[in-house]
Amino acid sequence: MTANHKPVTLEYVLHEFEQCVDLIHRNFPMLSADMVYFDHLIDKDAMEREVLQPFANVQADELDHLLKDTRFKPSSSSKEIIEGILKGDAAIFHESSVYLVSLYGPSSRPIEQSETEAVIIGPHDAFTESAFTNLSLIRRKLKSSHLKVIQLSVGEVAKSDVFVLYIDGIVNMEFVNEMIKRIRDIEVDIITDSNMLVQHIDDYPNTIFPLFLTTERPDLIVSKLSGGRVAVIMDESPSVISGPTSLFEFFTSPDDYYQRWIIGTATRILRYIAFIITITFTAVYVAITTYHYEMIPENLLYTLIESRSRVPFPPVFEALLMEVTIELLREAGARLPSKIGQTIGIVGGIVIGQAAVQAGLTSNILIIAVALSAIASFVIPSYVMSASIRFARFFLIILAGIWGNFGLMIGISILVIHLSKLTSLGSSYISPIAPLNFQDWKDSFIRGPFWMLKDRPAQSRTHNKVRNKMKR
Amino acid sequence: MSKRGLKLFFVCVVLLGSVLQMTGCNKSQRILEKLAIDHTIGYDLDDEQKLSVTAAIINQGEGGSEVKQELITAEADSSKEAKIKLSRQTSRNIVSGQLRNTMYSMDVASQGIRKLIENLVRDPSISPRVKITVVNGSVQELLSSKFPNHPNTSQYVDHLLEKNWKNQNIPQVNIYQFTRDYLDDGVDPVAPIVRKKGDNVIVDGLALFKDDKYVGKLSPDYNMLFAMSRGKYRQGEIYIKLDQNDSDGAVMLGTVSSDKKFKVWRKRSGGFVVELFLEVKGDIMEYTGNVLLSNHKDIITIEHGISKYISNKMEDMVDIMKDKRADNVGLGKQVRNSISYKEWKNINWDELYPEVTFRCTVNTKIKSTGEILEIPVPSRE
Repeated sequence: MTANHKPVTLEYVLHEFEQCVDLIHRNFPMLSADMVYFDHLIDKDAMEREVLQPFANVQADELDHLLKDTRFKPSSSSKEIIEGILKGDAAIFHESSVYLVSLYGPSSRPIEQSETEAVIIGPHDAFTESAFTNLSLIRRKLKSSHLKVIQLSVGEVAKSDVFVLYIDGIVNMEFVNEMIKRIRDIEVDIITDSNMLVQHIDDYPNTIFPLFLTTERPDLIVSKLSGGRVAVIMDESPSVISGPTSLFEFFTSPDDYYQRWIIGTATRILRYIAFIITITFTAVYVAITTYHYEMIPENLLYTLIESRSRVPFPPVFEALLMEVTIELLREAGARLPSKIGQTIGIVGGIVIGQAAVQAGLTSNILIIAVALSAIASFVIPSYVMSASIRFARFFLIILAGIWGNFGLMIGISILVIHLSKLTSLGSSYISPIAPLNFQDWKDSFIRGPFWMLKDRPAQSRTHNKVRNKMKR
Repeated sequence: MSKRGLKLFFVCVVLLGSVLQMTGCNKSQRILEKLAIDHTIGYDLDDEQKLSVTAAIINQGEGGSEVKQELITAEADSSKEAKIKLSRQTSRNIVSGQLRNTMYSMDVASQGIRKLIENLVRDPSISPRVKITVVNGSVQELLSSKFPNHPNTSQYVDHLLEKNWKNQNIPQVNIYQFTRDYLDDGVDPVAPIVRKKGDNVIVDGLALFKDDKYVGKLSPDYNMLFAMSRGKYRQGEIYIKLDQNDSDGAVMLGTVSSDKKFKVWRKRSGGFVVELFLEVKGDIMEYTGNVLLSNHKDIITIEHGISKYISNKMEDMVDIMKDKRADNVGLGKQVRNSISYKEWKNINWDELYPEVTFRCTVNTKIKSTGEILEIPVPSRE
């Protein structure tokens, strides 16, 4: 409180920013004014236009008049001034008063295509690290005064800006208030990305599944907002959070809506098949070759025995070995620049495809199983979800190696029980299944034709249910 | 113990259990390449009337050589004793979860195969779809023969049977159907007979069982008729020799389908008359007679010829069965269905059966005669 009453002096501010060589202090001796700002946070053109030009054209006695312009915001709180400078304002000290002028405009990445969530048709723009660019991308697609934006800040040290977005009249305010409360409750030094923020606000920290959808695609966020979800943009992060989320949202892609509904449905079913393959295929191989020789069709029996015959390990170790190799390749490929990445692909292809079989380390049928489940895992549009599922697979392989099909069933049951326990912002994670809502199945398991998608998802608990009034 | 401690305890138990299990301290593991997988089991009687069991197993030679069929034989009193003896002869665990076929020599079959089948049914790893086949000759000899075009004998026989029942040449006979017919009142089981013939194996008709004992053989000519008498017949082929004065020649009917219906009457003198009504439909695929197929009237003659042929043959077939006192068509079942249970319990079907009159009425319908009605005979000069 004392700071508010004490006049803020230039000396105080300079003292606060001691040892900050990037702070610029400009003196206008003719006007007896001083200006303090961070050069790299401001837009140089704006500085020229808004401050330097007018200052050059006024006399010392006219300056008072000029500073009455609304773009110069008078401030008397030292805290506000220091925060302002840190956010890209320039502080102008004239006589005993201080003015802040917003010149924020640091250099940032232009709007580009999303690397992780590329689509073939539909808008190609993706969010960038700048929250204002992201807000602009959303506002451009959603020209409504009902789109509300609430600003919060997280990180005791970093003080990153976080924006909570929702559409008034569609969203259930419970979710907005819950989201705001959870973000306000965060007390950590620094959060550098929204995927990190998600882990601070989700319902269950000890689960492998992501409880909030994060995406780089504005069209997806816009459709989530209009479906009654809450979106959270974090400054300096290209991913935007949407919530509450159900498991099945991770298997949908904006592509589905840009294609004919039959093709969209087929693609969606393909993703669920991919999910099942990823999670069980190798485990089934292990269970069958270890315990259930009865289940193998006669024609496959001979080839399977032959391919297994030179392998010195029990099937479960053989499978784990190959799964770990694939994960190694994937991790190595993810970190490397694309030119070396090709080398990894070739080495991996030869090593896994050929040498491992010839050396008698694995059977070639297992190679197919492992490769298929790895490919299938990349069919799932969300990278975070695909990583979770790949992890769950290891758990199932080990159980299949211990108890065969019985173990596999135990594993799947545990997974289902675990999933039913999860909640996202307090609403069920497996939403159209439990609580059961057949209406929503048309937009989660299949992509129904638009005339069938009349209601907003039940998970949003919106009071404004109808989103499509057309007869067809 | 606190809730957390309990949780930790469970985690430890599960981890320890998994480590022990995965490291191979687990006897229930049946790793594929360490198994000797039974494909076919054959039963013979040797000279001293002792059971001799032959197992064709899918096995892999040591050191990753090619997977092939291996034959091992043991003499035993029962099939389970045989299993123990057989396992002494192989380096791998003998398992029977992939068993496809069981073969019985005629000697074994005529002594009754109830005990052998009982043991197959008792083992839960053996599927009820395992086939039952009677071999004309020695099973061991058949299984150990090398057929140049078919490197894997047991698989060859299995596929041969499978194809033949899909074509409805022989009825599908597996453990389920055999035991069902065996246990059901008023019907006796059958089984296909195979025999080695030169470089091939052929289906050699049907084995007629009285209860679980082999009593006689039905020649392969009756295969089709037996199938028609047992159930609906679809998409088959039948070759018929007509010996009527005006329409001599052979007819081959294709896409034959038949529907059957039994009717039972009581004779005044006691006893029963069972009549089988057959509705046979087919297309003429081949005809060597001299009747003009374009003539509708003549087609009716051919139809009558076919009907007569089928009904005569059907009655012959039942006569053969009656001779052996085996009711494989299931006339008893038809009689049973027509009277009350109490009455059925009071009659002794085995005694009554040879006295039953069987009649077969066939109604044949020729659907088409093919694309060409007749190629004109070139006039010779």
